[in-house]
Amino acid sequence: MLYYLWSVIQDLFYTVTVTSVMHAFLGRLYGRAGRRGHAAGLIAGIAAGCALAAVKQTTNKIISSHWNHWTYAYLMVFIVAFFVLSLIFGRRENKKPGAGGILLTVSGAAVSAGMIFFRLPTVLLYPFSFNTMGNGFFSAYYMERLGGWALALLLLFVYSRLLYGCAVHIRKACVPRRVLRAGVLVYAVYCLGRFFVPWISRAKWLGWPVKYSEAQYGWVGSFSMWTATNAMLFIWICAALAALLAVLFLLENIRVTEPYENPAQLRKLRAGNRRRRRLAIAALCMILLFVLTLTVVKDYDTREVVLSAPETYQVEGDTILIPTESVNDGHLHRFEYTTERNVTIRWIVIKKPNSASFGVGFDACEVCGSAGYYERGSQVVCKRCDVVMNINTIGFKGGCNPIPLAYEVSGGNLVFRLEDLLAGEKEFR
Amino acid sequence: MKKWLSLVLAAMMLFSLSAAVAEEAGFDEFELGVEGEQEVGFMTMAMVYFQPVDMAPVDQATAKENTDLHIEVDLTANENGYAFPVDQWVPYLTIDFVIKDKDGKEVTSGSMMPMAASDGPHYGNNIKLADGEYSITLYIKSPAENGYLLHVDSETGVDAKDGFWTEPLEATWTGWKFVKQW
Repeated sequence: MLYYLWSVIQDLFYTVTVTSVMHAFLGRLYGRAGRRGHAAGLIAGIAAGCALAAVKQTTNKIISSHWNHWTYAYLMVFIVAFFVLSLIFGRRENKKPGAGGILLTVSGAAVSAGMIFFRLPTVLLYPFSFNTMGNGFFSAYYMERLGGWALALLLLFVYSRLLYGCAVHIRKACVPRRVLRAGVLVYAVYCLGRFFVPWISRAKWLGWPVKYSEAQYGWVGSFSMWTATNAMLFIWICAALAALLAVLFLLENIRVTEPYENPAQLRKLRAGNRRRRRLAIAALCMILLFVLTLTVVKDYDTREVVLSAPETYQVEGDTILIPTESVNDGHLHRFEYTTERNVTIRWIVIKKPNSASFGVGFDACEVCGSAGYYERGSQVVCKRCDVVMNINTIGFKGGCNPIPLAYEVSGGNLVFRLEDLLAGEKEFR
Repeated sequence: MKKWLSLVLAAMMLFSLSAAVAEEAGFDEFELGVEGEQEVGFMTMAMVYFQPVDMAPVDQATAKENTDLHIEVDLTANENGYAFPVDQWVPYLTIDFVIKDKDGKEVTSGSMMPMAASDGPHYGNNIKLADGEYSITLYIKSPAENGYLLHVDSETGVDAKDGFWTEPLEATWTGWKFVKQW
């Protein structure tokens, strides 16, 4: 659930911020015509994004890297056009759009459409890639993931309404205008870096030369790599710009500055200020919530799991004895044996639910190697790929199951032969 | 105004749909590391990567969910004493990998599974990896570890009668600048 919560927020936060402020900005300039013009861009972006997602999901005709490459180019062109046009035509509010105004509206709508078109397919296709592991579409397993995905979309929708409210009602017209210009320019820098990613991945399809030495990548390669490894920085800049807009809106509404003639008018103005302050505080809370989601929650969700400490056992000649009473509590137990070649072999034991038998295997599988397994609630999970094991099949051969390890139950002990343990040494080298 | 906007909307829709249909089918493989193709033992190997993929059976594969890319090693046999056909894929290998960052710190490791895509059989896996610069080392274990036998009698035996290699073959690709492009 958490993975889809922060992933969707990370994917769409920038897009939602820019489109919300863009809608307010064009509305402030040209009223209904500006809002309608931008709405057409939003609809076009959503429609094109849905179409792309559908084609991507049902055919093999979409090569994502090619599409992304040209979308970056498209976005850069329209962002530059919007930026220049907004400098020329974006100052006076509440007027009828002339030819310049139409061009500004179209370029703004095109920026929003492009940003939505770029990010939406990924988000729309998440539910199709939930790893159900045969649990079905109506299982708690699937619903939990769907819940995280849907909650993120809901939060983003609420945030867009709040930010739009701030951008529409703020009295200083220059604030949303400058925030928007800065936001799209920073996004253009990001697009420029990503546009040149094929340079460093040697995209032969573009006809760009294949380059093998570090020196030949030049500043383009370094810049491209920098934008990739600092992708979160762009999101933080976006969050800071949105927060700035909300803070300035908040400060603007702390005191009554408009003239009034009687106490009743003052009360009315104060009530209006209170409403607007609440709007600003709510928007700031949402931004804070997103920042926490993309830092604390994301770190928690992607933290490295530390395997539980190995337990003790008794060695008798060529056998290892583990009392059954020490491992029959239904929890995962881990053991280690260090070979003469200084290789540490790990194995796990868990008593199967509603059964007298034990699930026993090396703490490694054929797919993820010696990553190991850990206990999450009542589940046994692969540390590397996060696959939840069916406890009843631990001890069976194949796939994500722990590699089986032979054992016997004798005299109240699980008995392992050293020879069998050593056979698994290669998995841990 | 409305006419203008309708035109923009229609043009964008047409553009995206027609482009979707016109786009050539397939997928993009990106070369991994600066070494390109390498001769490893009796094999020629190249490493590529692209977006994570769905694999079946699902309970024997690393799911696309929570992973960032699919890595593959494309390998073919050269002249060899084991009677593997030249220029063909070599089965029954166990290929483990270790990925390290620029500072030499291990980032992840695992095994590459034998599988087939539309472009043929290979060893690969879905893995989780952040954008950055890495090196990857492969440890190629012999088919004998997976129960592959050789005829060794004089009449029908292969040339390499001493059997397969006993210590894993190693190959490293460095300077891999990984950036997710999908």
